[in-house]
Amino acid sequence: MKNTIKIERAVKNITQEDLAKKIGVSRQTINAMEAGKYVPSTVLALKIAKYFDRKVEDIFELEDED
Amino acid sequence: MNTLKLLPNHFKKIGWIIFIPSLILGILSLTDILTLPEVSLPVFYNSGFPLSSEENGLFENTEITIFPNLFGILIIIGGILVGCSKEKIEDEYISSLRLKSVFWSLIATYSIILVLFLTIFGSLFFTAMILIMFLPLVLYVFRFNYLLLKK
Repeated sequence: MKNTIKIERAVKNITQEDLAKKIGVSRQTINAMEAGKYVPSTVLALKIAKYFDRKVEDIFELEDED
Repeated sequence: MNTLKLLPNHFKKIGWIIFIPSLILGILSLTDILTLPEVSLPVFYNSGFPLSSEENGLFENTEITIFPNLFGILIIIGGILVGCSKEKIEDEYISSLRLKSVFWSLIATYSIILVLFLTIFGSLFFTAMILIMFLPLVLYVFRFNYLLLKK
């Protein structure tokens, strides 16, 4: 699964640390998601989408191998 | 978000303080660098050879090498405190790291045990098995913290 967290973060101009604090997760979690090493739970995906004021599908996208 | 039931975060620091020194001392006590005294104490159960000897059984006095026992106890207590304390922010990704490290340490431990079963025989085998008892916990603690710190 691909995601655009890094791009959204750049648009809002906030660091991984700040985003993590806003959403209530650890910085490692944001880092792992951006690196594509971790697929978040539905709850976390919804929280991220809500924070960026977007739909989940706008941020998370299925890839061919999924 | 559901996460595991764990001890509060400050237990982790206490755990490290107990775990690391006792691990080092425990390893040193296997070598000749540390010479440790034997202490005579009543123990809950003393078993030895020959099995018919009067000194075996419940609540007997026996010579114990008390320090290796103590180090073993402290390694377990320290390891549990480190391994079962929350991170500052314990979330779903941290839980997935825990799962990964437990699984990794299980596979690593049994791979080593398998090799030992095939290669070591005699009383050294039992000594090796005593040491192997600590391996799942020790490997989990180090693997988990390695994954946590790794970029």
